[in-house]
Amino acid sequence: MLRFKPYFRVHKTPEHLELMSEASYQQFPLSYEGIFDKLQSAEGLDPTSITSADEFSQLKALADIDAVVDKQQTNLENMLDFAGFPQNYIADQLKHVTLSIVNLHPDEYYFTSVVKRLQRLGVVFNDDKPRLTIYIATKLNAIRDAQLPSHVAQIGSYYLSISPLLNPLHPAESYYDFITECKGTFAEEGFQAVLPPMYKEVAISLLAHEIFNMVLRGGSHDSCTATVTWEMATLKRKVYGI
Amino acid sequence: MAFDGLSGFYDGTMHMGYNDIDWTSSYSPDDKYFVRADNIGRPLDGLSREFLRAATEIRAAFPNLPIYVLNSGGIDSEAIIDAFVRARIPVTSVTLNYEDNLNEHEVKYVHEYANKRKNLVKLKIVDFKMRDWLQSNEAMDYARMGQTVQLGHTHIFKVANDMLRDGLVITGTDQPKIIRDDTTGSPRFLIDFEEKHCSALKFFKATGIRSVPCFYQWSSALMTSYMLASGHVGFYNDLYNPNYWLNEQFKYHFLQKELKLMPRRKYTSYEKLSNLLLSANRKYRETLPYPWERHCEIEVYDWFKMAGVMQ
Repeated sequence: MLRFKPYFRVHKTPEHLELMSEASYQQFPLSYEGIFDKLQSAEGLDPTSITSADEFSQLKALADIDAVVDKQQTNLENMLDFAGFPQNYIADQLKHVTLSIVNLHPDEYYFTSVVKRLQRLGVVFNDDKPRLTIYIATKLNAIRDAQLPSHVAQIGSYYLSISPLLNPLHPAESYYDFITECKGTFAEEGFQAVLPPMYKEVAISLLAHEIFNMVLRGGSHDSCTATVTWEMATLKRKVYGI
Repeated sequence: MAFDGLSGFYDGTMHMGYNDIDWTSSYSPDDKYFVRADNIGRPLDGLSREFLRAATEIRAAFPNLPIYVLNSGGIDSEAIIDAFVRARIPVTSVTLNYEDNLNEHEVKYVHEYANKRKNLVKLKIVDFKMRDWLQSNEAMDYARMGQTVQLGHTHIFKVANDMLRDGLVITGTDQPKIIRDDTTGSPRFLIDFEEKHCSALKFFKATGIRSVPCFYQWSSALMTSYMLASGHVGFYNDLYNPNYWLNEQFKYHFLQKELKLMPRRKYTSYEKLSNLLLSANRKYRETLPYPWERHCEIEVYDWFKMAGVMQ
């Protein structure tokens, strides 16, 4: 059954019908009233019931501007649809970006908890042939021969950081030079201060959140070209870009 | 800065034409189109700053001419005008208003953008009968001048020739398309130059209109900055699902991130005119001496190798 997308509103004036959302405004002649009523009704419009050519061309005009939908969408689907993402964007992206998480941290609790959280969110793991590898370590510059492309996440101290994307175009060495240049912005003692146990779960949820967003956004995530850092005491997120 | 005679298309770091001679047209089916770029020769800036720099360079190269940017109402044209606005350079935005409100959505975006920047952006809205134009013999004449097989490009030629000869005409016709090639084992990233750019170049040269036929290809550095922009990093590393990469919405999100432009829902006039355009093109192509598609059989290029970014 076809209906208007939920973010469209209909307004009738004596001269015409108005179809509007926060991002668009359309005017239609009053002859569209019949099809508007059907699309607004609780039952919706059955496309097989259309017999007149006029009604078909009216429906086509509404479909051309992407105003009708054939199933109830969730709030999240509506939000993505409104922002212009293609249908099934999240499912496609989760299926496409398979992850492998490698633990280099002495405290294995971080690794197991992050993996558990990501599994609950529907992230797909593939240790044999991952699309993206993430190393969990105590230092950003802990890796020398990383499997590419990859990120290095540093956890367990006052700062929680995720490195820029290490990839064949920008291998580890050039990015470590960048991180060294940025060193002034990171207080050295901050990395040495061990995170109190009360902040452990917060750090894990923040890291899982960043990794999940990285998977969903692909290359648009901040950490692809910059170091993303969370200050654990103040819970401020900072991005140190190139 | 090196320019080609009176016209002056690029900053001298981009070269295109036929048979290895810059800025030439084609006169035989055997002519071979080429695109070449010089090494950047300076540290590269981010895309936003490179846009600003290109706008400033264009103003400096043509100091006394009014600048006309042909604005379709799309985000690509808006990005060009935005570069001039950020550089505090006055610019005239020229938009065609088709009959029967065929492109009302595009025109609406043009007004919205210009109204917020009234002190720098002057609007010039030209009423244009697109349906009549596509079926006219004059459109075919203009297409022959640009050696294009697509009549859909010719309306901007007409407006530039009739109304904008006193200034510098800038279009954003050919934003480079990046293609991933996995056939050779290790992935290569190639760009595809469209016919639109090539034909605009030939038309403006033939008519002597001073122009930058494709702002995005103003300089080798601007192109390289575009290719290396952070939004593309994910593509090079295969982090986008193919549905999203092929979707036009990627471009909106990309320019929103890089240049802070607002993404939009755009219902283009192209769909409404496509049937007419198809039949007009078919009729026109029958009159050509040989299939002019050959003029635009442009190979894809390994940009990074070409601009000396990577060996």
